[in-house]
Amino acid sequence: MVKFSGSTIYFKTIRIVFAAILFLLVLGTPASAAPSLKVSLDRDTISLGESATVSFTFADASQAPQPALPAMSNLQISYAGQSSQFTSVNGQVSSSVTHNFVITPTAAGDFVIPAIRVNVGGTILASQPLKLKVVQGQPPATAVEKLPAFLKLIVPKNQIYVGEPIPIEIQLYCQDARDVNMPQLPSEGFTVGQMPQPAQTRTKVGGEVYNLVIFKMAVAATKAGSLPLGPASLNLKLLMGPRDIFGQYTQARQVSLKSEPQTIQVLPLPTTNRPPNFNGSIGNFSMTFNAGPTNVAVGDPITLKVKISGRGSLDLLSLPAQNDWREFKTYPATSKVESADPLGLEGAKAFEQIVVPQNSEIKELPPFSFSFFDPNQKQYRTLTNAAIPLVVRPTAATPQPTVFSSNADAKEERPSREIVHIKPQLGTIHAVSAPLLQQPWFLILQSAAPLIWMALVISRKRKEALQNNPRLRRQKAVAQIIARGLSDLSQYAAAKETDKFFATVFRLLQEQLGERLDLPASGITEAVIDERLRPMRADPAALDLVHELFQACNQARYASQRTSEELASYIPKLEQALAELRKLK
Amino acid sequence: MTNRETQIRAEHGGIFALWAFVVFAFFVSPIVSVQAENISTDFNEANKLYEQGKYSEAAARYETILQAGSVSAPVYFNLGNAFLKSGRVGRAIAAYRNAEKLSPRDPDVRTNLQFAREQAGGGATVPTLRWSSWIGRLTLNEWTILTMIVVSVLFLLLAIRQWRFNLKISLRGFLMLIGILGAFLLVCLATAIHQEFFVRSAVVIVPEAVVRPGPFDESPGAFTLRDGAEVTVLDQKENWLQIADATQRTGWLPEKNVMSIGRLRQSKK
Repeated sequence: MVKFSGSTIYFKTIRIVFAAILFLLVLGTPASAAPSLKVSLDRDTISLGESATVSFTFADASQAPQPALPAMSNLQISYAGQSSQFTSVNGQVSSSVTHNFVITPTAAGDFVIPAIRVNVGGTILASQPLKLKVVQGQPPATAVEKLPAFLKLIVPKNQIYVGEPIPIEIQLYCQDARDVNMPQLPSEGFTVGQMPQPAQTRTKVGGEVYNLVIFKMAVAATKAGSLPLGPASLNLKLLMGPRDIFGQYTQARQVSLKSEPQTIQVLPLPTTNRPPNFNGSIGNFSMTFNAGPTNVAVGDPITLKVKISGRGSLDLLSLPAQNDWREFKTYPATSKVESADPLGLEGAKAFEQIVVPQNSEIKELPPFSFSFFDPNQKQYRTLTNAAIPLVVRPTAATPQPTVFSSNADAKEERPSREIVHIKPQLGTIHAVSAPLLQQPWFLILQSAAPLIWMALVISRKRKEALQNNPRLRRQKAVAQIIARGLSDLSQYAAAKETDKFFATVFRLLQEQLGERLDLPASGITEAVIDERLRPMRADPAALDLVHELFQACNQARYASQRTSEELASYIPKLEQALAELRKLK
Repeated sequence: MTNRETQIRAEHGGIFALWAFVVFAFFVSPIVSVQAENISTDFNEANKLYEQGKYSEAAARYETILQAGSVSAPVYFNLGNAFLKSGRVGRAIAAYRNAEKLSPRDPDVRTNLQFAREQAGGGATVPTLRWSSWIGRLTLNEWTILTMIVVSVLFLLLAIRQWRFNLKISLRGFLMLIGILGAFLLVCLATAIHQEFFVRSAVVIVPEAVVRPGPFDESPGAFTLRDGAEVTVLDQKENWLQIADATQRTGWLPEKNVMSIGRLRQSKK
């Protein structure tokens, strides 16, 4: 006997309710959506000896019968089973069933898998025809069978035009490997476009099953001639050796794979029949054009919307200059790319450009034309829309018509299709050296102005200090007088001019004593020694010397001429006396 | 005309002569002509190779000139063209950016750099502030000379004010103007110094550079950068660089996978 507790019953009820909701979500919604059929190939180019997988996916179909593929010569077709998928996003449930077929070619060539019609619950669904290109196998099947990994460089065509973008593939075939690096591709003379995330699938080559990793990218030649592309190379670690208990390989060996190089014949763009407004666009495009508003006043903006769709380098597409639009002021166009494939080769580029009519005589927007070179048809093509009628009303202040030079605005619209050519002149050569800021000579030069300023500041401060201190000023003046006087004394001694000599000695003693005692120099006599200097406790020897000099001056007034030597002997004494006097406080 | 006016005019004439001397002294740039003839010959031969479509050989010859220790904007520009034509977009961007450092206002350099960036897939540029971009319109040496001229003029005006104290009032407005301009230029110079010495840029030069969370080969790949992606170098550990890409993702990649822009001395490698 089985017993259920209360909580067990409770949880069981919840599970049933959830299961019912899930069932309703899964089964209920798909019935309301319209069924569709999509067919796809995992690769559109394969080598002879390989196989490709074609998938028929029925979306939101109540039934998904296995499609019947017709027999095709040189193609072996075998059914590889079906897979189902349910997705639920925010309550929206969708389901799909995919039938896979493996196609193995027995000869090289171009094949078309025809459109298939399938009856799904009374609705006839049709698929699109698919193209499959089979090229001669590289390397030979016998060699490949024994290789654990190899690399292929697939180029869809070997003759292209300069600037024509083509998708290429680097295919890595490996059985068991890890640490697969991104492939390297020497591509001198080509520009290589974006490389999206690699696709991964499985394929059979020469009876062996391989993991196939496909790296796709777009290349475009930058010059004409026979240009080599590749070989592509890639590093990875191959797993080998005995397996452990979990079935994992126990050894790994680093290998470097290299593909066969390809040579591409690059043709220059024809110069004949080149449209005047061709600006380098290469591919196969269509164009839609509209403009609005069409009833405006002079000076009002009109927005042109140009959408160029098709196959080619969408990133590099630019609007050509329109020579017939001189009556309009035009502004640089803005653009937005809507890529339909990860390589950016298919999709659309939408341009928006503002143009402003400059006078009221304008009756229409002139035809807009866009020229490109179609590499498939090997000729230039020009797409032109019809002129659009306009009503341009005059304004109170109608500006004069402006002749617009399209080159100026065309410059703004970047990037240009071709780079600016190399410069023929070497220009100014600089030795590779430290910047000026690190050059000692420059830093020294920079210090000149601040140093001049600082010197002048110090000079001015000193002048101000002198002006505000009369004693200091007198001190300096006396020092100058003494310096000059001592110089004169030597000359007087040499010329035996006794009177002048002693008069100068007397004056110098007066000046120095007057400065020290802060008295007028003319009032200084020998008496000042006893009256003023002795109370100041001056050095008695110095005072005796000063006394002696005063005496000598007095005697000279009465004595006869002295010799030069005698006169010169007084100079050191005077210097000593003056030095001693300067020490007085 | 009074004696006083004559004296003032004579003083102003002396000031002008002093300014003229200082300005002239600042503009004497350290242009060194190193084996100019040989360089010119190499340059012309490289151009010839380029014209013949031998882009790799031309690039190698341009690089020889740079390795000799002499640089010029046209050499870097032509090197960029040679790299671009030979499909090496990352190296082309690096060369154009070096050309831009020497000749930041050359429209040809900017056009081809833009073209190369588009070739690299666009959006790979490390975003820069408008302020930084504006600072980049002048080279570091140009900012240095401009700033030093204004600062020197400021000091000379201050010196004149000390020399002729009676001009203190009349110079006040002019001094204030020059002072503000000098302060602004000092800020610009500081920014330029920061960009030159403290911001290191690099360009990815391999088809796919795997960026890892750590500076080890064993570290799992975090994301990959394409040839031509421009990054900011944040740090270096031995032969690994820590970088930030345009979307501010950070990680480590081997130094050999990128080419530094930085200072021209470093870019000689």
